[in-house]
Amino acid sequence: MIEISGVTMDFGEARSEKPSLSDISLTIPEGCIFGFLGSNGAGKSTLLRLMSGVYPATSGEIKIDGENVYDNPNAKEKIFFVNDETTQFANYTADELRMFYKGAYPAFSDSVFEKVMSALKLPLDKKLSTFSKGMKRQAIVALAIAAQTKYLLFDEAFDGLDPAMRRMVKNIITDDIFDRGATLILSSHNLTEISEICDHAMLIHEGELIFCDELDALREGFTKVQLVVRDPALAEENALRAGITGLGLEVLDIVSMGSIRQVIVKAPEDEVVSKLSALSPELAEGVPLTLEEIFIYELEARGYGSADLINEDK
Amino acid sequence: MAAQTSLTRINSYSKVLTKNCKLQFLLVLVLCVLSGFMNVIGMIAFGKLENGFITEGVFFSFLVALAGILIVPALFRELYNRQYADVEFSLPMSAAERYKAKLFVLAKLHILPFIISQAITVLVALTFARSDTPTVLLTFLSNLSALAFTDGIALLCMSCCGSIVESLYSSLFMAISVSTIIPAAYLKLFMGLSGRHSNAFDPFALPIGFPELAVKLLGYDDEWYGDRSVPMLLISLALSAMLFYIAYLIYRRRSGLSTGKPIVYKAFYCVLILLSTLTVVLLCFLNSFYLAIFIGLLVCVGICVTSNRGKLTLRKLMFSMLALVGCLACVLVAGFAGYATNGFGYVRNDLSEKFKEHSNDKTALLMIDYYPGDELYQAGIYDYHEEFPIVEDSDYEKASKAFILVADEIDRSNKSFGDNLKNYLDTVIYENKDVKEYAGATFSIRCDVYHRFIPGEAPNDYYDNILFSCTPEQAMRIKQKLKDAGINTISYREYFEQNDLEFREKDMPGRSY
Repeated sequence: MIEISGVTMDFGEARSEKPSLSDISLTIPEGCIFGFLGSNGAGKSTLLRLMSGVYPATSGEIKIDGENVYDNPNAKEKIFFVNDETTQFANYTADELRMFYKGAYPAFSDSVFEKVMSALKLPLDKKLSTFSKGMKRQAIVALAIAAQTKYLLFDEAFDGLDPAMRRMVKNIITDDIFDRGATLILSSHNLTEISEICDHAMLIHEGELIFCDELDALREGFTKVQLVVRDPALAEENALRAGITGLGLEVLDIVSMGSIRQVIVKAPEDEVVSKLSALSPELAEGVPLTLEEIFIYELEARGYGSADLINEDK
Repeated sequence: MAAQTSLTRINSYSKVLTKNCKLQFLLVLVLCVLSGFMNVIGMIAFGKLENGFITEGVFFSFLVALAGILIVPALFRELYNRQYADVEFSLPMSAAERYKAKLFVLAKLHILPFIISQAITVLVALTFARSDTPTVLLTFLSNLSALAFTDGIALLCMSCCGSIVESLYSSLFMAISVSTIIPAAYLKLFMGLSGRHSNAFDPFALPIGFPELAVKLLGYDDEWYGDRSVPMLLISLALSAMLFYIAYLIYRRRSGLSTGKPIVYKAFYCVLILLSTLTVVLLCFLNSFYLAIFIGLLVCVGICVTSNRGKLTLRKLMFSMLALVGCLACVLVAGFAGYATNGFGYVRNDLSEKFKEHSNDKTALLMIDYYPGDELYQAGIYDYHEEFPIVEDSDYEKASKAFILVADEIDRSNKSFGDNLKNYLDTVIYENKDVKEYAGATFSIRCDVYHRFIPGEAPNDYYDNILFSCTPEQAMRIKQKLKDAGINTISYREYFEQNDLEFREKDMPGRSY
């Protein structure tokens, strides 16, 4: 289990700047696939680096199975971190990298490495500088899997892979994770991908944790309601928002399409429909949100994204 | 999961690091081969160390040592490259293990090839030039000390910098500054301002830095070779080991957080800028004050602009200017104090008063040059008016003969003068007692009193070998003796005329100041 308690990361470049991460606390259970979501520059990669001991936290602590991770080889033996670049490996052949990681990770498996490399049809004796970007990432994924660590941390792991290879690599990783009961933590901007393979996710924005939960619970926590209310007092969007908020519901967004209002509410469907009945709606039909919609509405509610700008221009 | 032993991790990590330094290793290898080759050739072909060994072999050894400045950054890529930082800091290794692995590779790629090349030199010395073995061993220890010093400085600078550019130039600046600052301060503030040239204390023999580099930069090539005694060399090695340890303590504190920052620690930035500026100011001091300001400005503003990149502020720029002003003020105050107190009480007698009679217009200079291995052998005398005899078509025998004649004359006619001198200067060395003993070497007869007797003479302006004051009459007598001995001489003026050169009085040696 990875426990992140009250972690703040301040790069301290300018006093006026907000910390990159503010008081983040979350727990990543063993054997799950955990997705890190967030806007650009939200702090996902920073958090991954903190978890893999690249950075020390300004305050708070990160424990891997009860041990602090920073400068602790015992804790770091359980982690393999793949960052979003592969340029550092250019001078090495896959075989040389295998020897390197084999020396560093006690459980490194030659057979797994060869199996994955062979499945991906990658040569062992050629320098990575001769590989395409996608091939380099595949080779690093193979090394990560072969290291057989308990926790695998991937930062934008599938970038540069074509759709077919993306699927294949994903399958290789998830098969390995399930077989070994390991934990996969990955950050990605591809929400479809996260929702496909992850069972837990967290959303981070401007260094603050917005939510962190199981994916199903997350989806259930948001409802998109098709709402028709005839009360003239609620004709205006702001009045309707105030009305719904008055019922104890958090409204993320309202979009009007004729008389039908599409309201995004942060609450389970049953609770939303039941509370909205107080407005005597002609229609109140709840639909669960996709992860992408949750992401967009959560961030838009915090002023992130271009939707408002486009609307203002119109 | 069996825990990987620390040694396995270090071993495996060092293998990959070795691969990161292939080019640098190649460079070291080439330089080591050249150094060993020059040493061996020097000993076998010339049979004497002074010809080939001291110059080319040592020069290449010096370059091998300097290569440390290039190897260290190649080993510590995680300190300036974010991609490497992600990989290396996330590896299951402690900072201590990473540092040990890097030191191991440094020893393997830099120190070991050097030791092997030097060992070959020692073996050859034992075989072909047995009498030179002590010198070879001392040179070996001296080179090893220089190598350890460069690596120590490079490690220290690398652990304080987060960018390769800063790492390179700060290592270079620090190596130069640490090596030069004490000799420069001593030679300028004590000797320069006291008007005394003394070999009693050798600032280049101190166990700090590169003595050869300091000797070159301060222009004392003819005076000192930066020789250190064995105990001093051992102290120097111990000081370098201390640098390694300090670098380790700093490296242990580094994380991926500071990767990419040009200079990580403010204290290091302050030390770098102050030390570099002070060194430059001291080096230029007494030569040209304006040059000191100009080069000092270039150095401190250069460091400030480079290390701050796009984040340069007026405040930071002001700090660097303040550093320059501070250094200039310190040197000026120390210089004034040195001048007012006769070199901080270093001068026991007012020499200019004691030897006033030798600083009049009638003073002539007796000079002999001897360049073994060169085509030209000179022996001559000149005075300040026009005499500058050059031995024409000279050869080794003629030059030696001339040398002996002139040296004898100096010895004879100036004996009382020399004795008198010794009462005031305890460092005047007459090495011309037995010329034959130095037959294969560059003669080094230090009549440093020269600088006392010629008013306006720059303290560090030296002429070769024998340079002595005598009267024009004495000079003419010696010239006649040379003629009697069959050594052709021509006057300086004649020499120019014969070679279709325009004669200008200021071209005469000793007349340019």
